[in-house]
Amino acid sequence: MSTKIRTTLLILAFLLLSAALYGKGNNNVAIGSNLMGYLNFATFNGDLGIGISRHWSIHLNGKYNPFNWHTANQYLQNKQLSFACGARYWNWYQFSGWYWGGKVRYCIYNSGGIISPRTEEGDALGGSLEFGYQLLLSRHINMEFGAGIWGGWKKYRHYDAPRCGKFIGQGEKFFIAPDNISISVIYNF
Amino acid sequence: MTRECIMVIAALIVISCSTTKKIEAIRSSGVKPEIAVSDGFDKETETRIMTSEYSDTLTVTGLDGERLNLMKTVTDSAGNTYAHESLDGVVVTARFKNIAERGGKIDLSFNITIPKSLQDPSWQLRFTPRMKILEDTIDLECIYVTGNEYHLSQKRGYDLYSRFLSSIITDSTLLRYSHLIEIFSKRNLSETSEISLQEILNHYRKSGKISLNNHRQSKSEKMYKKMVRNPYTTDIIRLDTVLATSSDIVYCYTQTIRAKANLKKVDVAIRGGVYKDGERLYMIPDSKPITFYISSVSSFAEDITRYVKQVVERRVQANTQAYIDFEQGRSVINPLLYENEHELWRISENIASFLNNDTYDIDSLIITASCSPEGNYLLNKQLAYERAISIRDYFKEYARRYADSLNRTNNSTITIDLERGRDNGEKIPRIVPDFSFKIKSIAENWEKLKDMVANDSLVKEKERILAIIDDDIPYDRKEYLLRQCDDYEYIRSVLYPYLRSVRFDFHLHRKGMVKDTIHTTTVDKVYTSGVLALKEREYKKALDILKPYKDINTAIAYLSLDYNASAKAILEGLEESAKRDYMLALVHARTGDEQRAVQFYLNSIGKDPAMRFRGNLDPEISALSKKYNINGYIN
Repeated sequence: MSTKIRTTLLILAFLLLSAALYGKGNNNVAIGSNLMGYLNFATFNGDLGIGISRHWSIHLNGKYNPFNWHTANQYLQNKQLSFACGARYWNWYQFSGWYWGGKVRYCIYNSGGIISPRTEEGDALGGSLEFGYQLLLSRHINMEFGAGIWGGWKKYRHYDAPRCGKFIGQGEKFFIAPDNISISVIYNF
Repeated sequence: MTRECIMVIAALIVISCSTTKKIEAIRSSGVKPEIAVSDGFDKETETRIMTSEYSDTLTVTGLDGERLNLMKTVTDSAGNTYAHESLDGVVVTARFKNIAERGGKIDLSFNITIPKSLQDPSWQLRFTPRMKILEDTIDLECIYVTGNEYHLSQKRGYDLYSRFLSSIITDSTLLRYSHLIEIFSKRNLSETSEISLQEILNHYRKSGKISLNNHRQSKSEKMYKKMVRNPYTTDIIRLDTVLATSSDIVYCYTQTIRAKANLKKVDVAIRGGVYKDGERLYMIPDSKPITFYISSVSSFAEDITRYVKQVVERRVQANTQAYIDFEQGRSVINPLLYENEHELWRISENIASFLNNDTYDIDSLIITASCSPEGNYLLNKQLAYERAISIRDYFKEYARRYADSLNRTNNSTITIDLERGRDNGEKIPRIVPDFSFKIKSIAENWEKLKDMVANDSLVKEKERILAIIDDDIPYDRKEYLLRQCDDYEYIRSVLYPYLRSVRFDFHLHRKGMVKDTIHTTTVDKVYTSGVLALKEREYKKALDILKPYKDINTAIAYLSLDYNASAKAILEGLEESAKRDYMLALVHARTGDEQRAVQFYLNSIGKDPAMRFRGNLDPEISALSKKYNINGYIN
């Protein structure tokens, strides 16, 4: 089976599971979006969380940034496409209060021109740990404040300019980077 | 900085100096509250008499028998007497007062004057009247006079404390995040949820606030002691007033006390203290006492002894019933049957008590035995007779043995001595007289059966049975007819046992009495107790006891309770005497008949000149005296 079909099937399975679990009593299903992400050069992101018990929930996360940005003398981009899935442990109850979480993330990225013209393009696979707090605002809406850090293995290529740059070098290495500074709005069904 | 400090310290010293100075001034000048007799309560009687609508001139018969006109007068300071005009507004400081006891109660009233120099806004004055009654000294309820600053500082303490108390949160909804609880419950709480409402409430508590609250609550006792340094008094006090003016304060203090026997005077003095911040600064020395002289009508009571006639009979009778069972057709006493042992013992005890008796001797004992109607009449007759004999022999034997044992302990032989005199306290040897046993027997006790059936509610065919019993037919026939009735089983099992009874009649006579009756007179103790109650000032009790006697003591009881008409009725029937005339004067004065009152008063003085001094003690008579200047006339 092709990767595309496999991925699609996985996502479908995930959605079916979420629907089933939603029907099961008191488990919440929530979707959210990180506002800080949009500050990060307009990275669209979304998070689907499904509560599976009082203290646990599983999450599916996606980010997408196809944009180039150019001002008068600068050209920059921070493109990425990433998927992550993980679980969270809630101290008190799912989708309220403090949580600890772990994810596995796969990210395809191309970023450059922000600090220097040198552009890095590659894909990374790693795991992240995160920690945060969700505040109940109303029956359906939460506000999340969190932070995460991830590390893993990346395969990269360097270019000297964000656009039409010359190939400088490539490699594979281990990395650690902040994953998420999140101020999100979550909607619980 | 230092200059300010020095000025503050100097100011404090000056302030405390001024307080000590003031105390020193008070101490050296010896200022203290004054106590004076007030025109309090008896003013009522006096005013009534002084301002009555009666004519200003009375016509009475004087001491020498001449006709006399008395006018309402007033005496001025020079001793001159003028026709009436009432005076007002004079404050007299008198050291004693005559008051009368009324209805067992005495109303004391006196004025307490607190001079201006004792008062200070930062002080509280506390006064206690001390009453000396017979040997007891009793403190009456206090009077507090509080300065304004003193009161404010007290109040401040309470305000501080109440503010502290209000900081303790009692509303439990303020100690939780209610909004969050609401949202969470809406989202997650249902019948099937794993989480319970209690868990939610516990989780969303404001624990910081809660612990602070608990801390405050535990401290509240300590905080009360710290903040309220001078708490309001919890004793029962008569008055607690805050000074509004700066002048002498006069308070009219009244107290009602119960009259006691021999209580002729009551001394009252004031003791007090100056307090600041709850601590006593200075103890004011006791004021000069005032004396109340108490007059009571009960002092007229006379110790009369009354006697009551009693008739004592020589012959006395006592009787008792015993249910002694016999076996069917037998006449031998079997102590083991049913209750025989107990019944025999009981009768034996009765006999013994009459044999060994200080007051009585036995003349004779009649034993009546009866049988129930069962069986042939003639057989029953014989059986009853034999049973009576059997019982007689049993108790005769018992009596003989008992008498023997008594005689042995007393070392004397049996003799009969009917001329014996009364025991006057010497130890006389017990003499057990011989007495006769007589027997009677009733064959079939139909009379008793008739009574029992008539009074028994469980017998259904009452009329039929009673008709059978009344019928003039042979007894055996009656019994046959009775056996046909439905109630027979009940009668036989329940009522017949009561017919087999033995009755013991004791005929006794009083030891040492020769005549058949003796008439004695004994002191009427009831009357004596009535007079005693009168003297003890228990008037209701005295009246209840003395009412039927209708003599002077009864009249005194009526007078003390203000039943003037009843008193008058009795007094008018008594023979004339100074006491009786005086009491009639009292009665008339109370009912408003001043003419007769003064007349009787003069009569009583005529018979006993000392009555005029008594007249000064009773407010009714003394008011009359004053109004018509009777004392002046006598002099």
